[in-house]
Amino acid sequence: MNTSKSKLRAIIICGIFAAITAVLAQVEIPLPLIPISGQTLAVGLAATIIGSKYSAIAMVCYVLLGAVGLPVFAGFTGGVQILVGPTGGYIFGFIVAAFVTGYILEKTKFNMKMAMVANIVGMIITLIFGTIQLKILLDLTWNQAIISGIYPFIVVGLIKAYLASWIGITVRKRLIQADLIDPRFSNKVAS
Amino acid sequence: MNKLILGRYFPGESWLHQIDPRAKLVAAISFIAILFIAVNWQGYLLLGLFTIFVMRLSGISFKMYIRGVRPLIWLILFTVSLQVLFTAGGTVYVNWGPITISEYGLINGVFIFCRFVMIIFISTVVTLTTKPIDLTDGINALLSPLRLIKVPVDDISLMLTIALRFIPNLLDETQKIMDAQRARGTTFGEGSLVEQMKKLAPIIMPLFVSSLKRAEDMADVMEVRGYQSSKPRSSFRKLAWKKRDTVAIVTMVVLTAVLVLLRELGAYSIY
Repeated sequence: MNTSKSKLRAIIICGIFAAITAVLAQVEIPLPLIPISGQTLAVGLAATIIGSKYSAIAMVCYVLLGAVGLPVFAGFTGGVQILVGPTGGYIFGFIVAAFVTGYILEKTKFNMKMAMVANIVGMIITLIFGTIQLKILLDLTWNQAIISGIYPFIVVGLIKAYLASWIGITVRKRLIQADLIDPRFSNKVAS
Repeated sequence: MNKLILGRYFPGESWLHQIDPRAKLVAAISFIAILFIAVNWQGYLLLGLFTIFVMRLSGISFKMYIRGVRPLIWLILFTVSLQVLFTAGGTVYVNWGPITISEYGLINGVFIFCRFVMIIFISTVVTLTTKPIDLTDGINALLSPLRLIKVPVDDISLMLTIALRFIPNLLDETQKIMDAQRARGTTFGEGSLVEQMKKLAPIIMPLFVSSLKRAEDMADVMEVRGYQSSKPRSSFRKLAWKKRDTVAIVTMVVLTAVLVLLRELGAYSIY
C-alpha cells in the first residue's frame, strides 16, 4: 500500500468517526436529571479503535462541525454558543481525552484491561476540562464546580468507559482481521 | 433525525442567503465577540435591535428561531439562575438561608440571558441561511492562513465534507440496525440503566464495521479517480466575494465602533 492511499484512508476514517460521534450524540437514554448521551461513549470508542492521533483529529472535526452551527452536539444542538457556554469545556475536553486514551493504549496494549484504564483516564480528563470551564464561566468556587460538574457523571461515566472498552476492543480486533483498519494506526497490534 | 441531515438550512432568496459564507462566518464570529463590549443597557438595546433587524432580513419566520432556542432553554435557565444567586451587590431583595437575590445579581442575570439569546439567534441566522456544504467551504477559506504554519487545511475540509456526507448514511444504517434488533426481540427504552446501555452494543458494533467498509470503498474510488491530497484541487463551487459581502463586513465594523462609543459614554453603566 502506498503512502498516498493510506493517508487518504486515514482522512476518510477521521471524517467518518466525526460523523459517528455526531450520530451517537443524538442517541439518548432519558434519565430524570441528566439524560445520558452517546457523545462521550463515541469519544472513548474512537480512541480505542483508531488510536490517539486520528481520534483526536476526528474530534477536532466534530468540534468544527458544531462550531459553525450544525446541530451535531447532544440533543441536536450546535453553534459557538455551546462551545463558549458553561458546558463547552466538556466538548473541548473530548479532543484531549481522545488523544490521551489512545496514547495510553498505544504505549501499553490494546486489551480489555488497559482499555478500561485508558477510558477511565479519558473520562476524568473530559470531566476536568468541563468543570474548569464551568467554574470560570459561572464564577463558581471549586467546590460548587466539582459538585455540579463531576459528581453527577461518575457512575454513568464508569459504565460508558466499560462499554467503550468492551465494544472498542471487540470492534478493533474484527476490523484488523477484516483488514479494514491498519494495525499501524497504533504502535502495537491488538493482542 | 432529519434535523441532522440538512443542518437547519432553510432555502430562500433573501439578501442574507446570498452573502458569501466567509463574510457570514466572520460577521457572526465578530458579533459574538462584540457582545462582550456592551456593558450597559444602551449597548444591549443596540445589539438587540440589530439582531431583530438581521432576523427580519433573513425572511424566515420568528418561529424557526424560537425552535433553535428551545433545546437550550435549560442550559440558559441554569446559567442565569447561577448568575442571579452568586452575584452580590446593590439592594438585597431576598435573603433566605444561603440564597441571596440582590439588585446586581438580577441585572446581571437579565444581561446574561439577553447575551445568550442573541448569540443563539445570530448563529441560527447563519445556519438557517447557509447550506452545510457552503459552511465547510467557508471554514476552509477562514482556516487557510493556517497553511503558513503547515496545518493541512485542505485535508481538514475534506474530512468535514466526508463527515457531512456520511451523517445521513449513518443515520439510515442506525435505523436499519435498530429495526433488525427489534425484529429479534430487543425492546429499546426499557429496563434498568445498565440493561439499556448494554443494548447499545449490538447497534454500535455493526455500525462501525459497515461504515469502515464504506470508508475502504470510498478510498478506492477516490484513488481510482485520481485524487491526490498533495496536489492543489480545483473546485466545482467557487466562492466569489461581492459588494454585499463588503457591506456586511463594514456594517459589523460600524456596529463595533458605535458600541465602543456607547461604552465610553455610558452614564448608566451597571458597574
